[in-house]
Amino acid sequence: MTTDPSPAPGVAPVLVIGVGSPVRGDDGVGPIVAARVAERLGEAAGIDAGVGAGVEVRLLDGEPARIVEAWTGRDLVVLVDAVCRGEAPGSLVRLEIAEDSVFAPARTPSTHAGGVDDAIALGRVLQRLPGRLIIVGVEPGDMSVGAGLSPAVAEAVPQLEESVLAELHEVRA
Amino acid sequence: MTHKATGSRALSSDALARVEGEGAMRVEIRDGRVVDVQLNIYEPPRFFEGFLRGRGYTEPVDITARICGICPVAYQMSACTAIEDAVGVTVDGALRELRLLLYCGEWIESHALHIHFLHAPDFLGFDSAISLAAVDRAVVERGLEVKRIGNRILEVVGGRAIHPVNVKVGGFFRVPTTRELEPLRAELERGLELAVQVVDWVAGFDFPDQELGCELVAADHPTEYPMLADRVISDRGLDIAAAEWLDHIEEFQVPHSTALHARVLERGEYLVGPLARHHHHAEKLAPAAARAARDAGLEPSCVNPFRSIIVRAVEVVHAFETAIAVIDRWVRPAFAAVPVAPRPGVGHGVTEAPRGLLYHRYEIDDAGLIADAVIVPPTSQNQPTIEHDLWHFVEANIDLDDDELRRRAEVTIRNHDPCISCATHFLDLTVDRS
Repeated sequence: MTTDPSPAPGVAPVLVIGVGSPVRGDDGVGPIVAARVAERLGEAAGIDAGVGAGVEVRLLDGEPARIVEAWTGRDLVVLVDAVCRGEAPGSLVRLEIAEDSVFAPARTPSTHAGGVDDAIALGRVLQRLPGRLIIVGVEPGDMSVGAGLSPAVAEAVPQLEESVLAELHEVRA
Repeated sequence: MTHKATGSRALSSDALARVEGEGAMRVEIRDGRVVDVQLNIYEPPRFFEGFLRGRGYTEPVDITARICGICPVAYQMSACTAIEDAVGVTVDGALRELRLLLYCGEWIESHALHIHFLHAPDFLGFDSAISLAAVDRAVVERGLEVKRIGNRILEVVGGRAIHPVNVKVGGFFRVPTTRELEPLRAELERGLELAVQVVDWVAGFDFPDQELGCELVAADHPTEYPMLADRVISDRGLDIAAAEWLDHIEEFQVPHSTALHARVLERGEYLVGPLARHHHHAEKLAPAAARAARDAGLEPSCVNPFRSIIVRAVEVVHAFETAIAVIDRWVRPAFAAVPVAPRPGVGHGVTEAPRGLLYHRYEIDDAGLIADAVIVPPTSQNQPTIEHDLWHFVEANIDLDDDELRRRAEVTIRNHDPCISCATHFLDLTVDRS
């Protein structure tokens, strides 16, 4: 989409972002999945920093400017988040943010106040979207403060983890 | 967001699926007069107070940092000082300096976010920073850069930007070397330059005339514009140690909100935050911040909530200068934390979060566990004042249509930068004119 501004030297070209709050029930699914992905990548690379070869993993709270900052200059970003689309809790969704939808109302429903959808809109306007942006999401059930993951979402975690890894493998293959 | 219309005239915000109940405002109008204004902003500290009971005395620092992604350092600093107060430990010297540096990072990041992404679009006629960026990309990029540099402090000192992991009761897990702080200093110099430009930019906005009439409460420090402090003052005679908080400030339940509200026992509603801090401590601003304030025409006591954007911008300059000064004075201490052993007791902590004074109180039992926790965040302290402000606004603008009324009510709320400010973009507004 754009390469402006240029990635800083040493920035991994591939980024996995887990978005959400760990204290708000199913909203915490993004960071949980991303942390598991980091562990798997770390094992594969023989390191424990959560950074496999050329892949970085970040856990973010959904604040749009932080998301834009994190993905600026990356070739591929796989973002894991709870996505409300009115389906059954635990339903999975994969969205690739299309290159040609600039200024289209392609707002990605997310669970954060001014979250991923605002980050996408801001990234477009500032020409700071990553080369490819894929959202791997799951429909949340309970997002009340202090609740853990609901059973349906907890059950979806391994599949979400595999989906993220598959996106990474595809680009490396 | 869904909204059920039940007899009264109801409006719903932007149809974005999100957490229900994040923010709600209800206005009741009878015969052309406002009879009730209720604001409910999501606030999680109540849950955390219960969650902390029975936890180890070192745990509130990490646990309360998760209350807010925008101001985790404030929660950590108030928690640390309260627990250190309970066990009779003082953290000073280089370790206190490092805490100041970390706090500067949070002030910069939080204020840069509020100024550019929430508040400025209101003055410039844009519905969001995204529309603003489409017209003036440079100012939004500058805001992002200021914010990023604040973030760098959190990464270098805090270990990471959200929920810093390097903070503990007694100090830090690890203290940085002079060499590690050097590249940060260069970035802060650049941030300082940009921050002065931001003051100049916001000072040129058009500000409606308005003056708040409430009591102004801030933390107090004899020589510093307060971030870390242990006393609390007001312009109406309050001058107390943190330990006397509960004797003078009362939290009370209101039926329409899960959050407790607060008032000064003797007098009533009050305001914490940039306007209150600046009113009490303007003369303690660092030199470039004081200069920027003067050039911006900021009066020594400003109680116009719209002009709080100038005060925030000035505080960003101050935070950059303070951070640079800390680095220039930095001598790495031989230890990263002072030893802290548990003992039964009660401790109090007040520090200045970006959006205002944050009070913590912990009671530690014989086993070193938290027996009781009280957390009074700035937003619940300001909530009665915000409702009052809204009441006056609605009364003066009662003939506006509901959409314009909502838009401008949101602006009124954003002036006060309530916790999770972004929630005000999702206000579920009900105007009942029946």
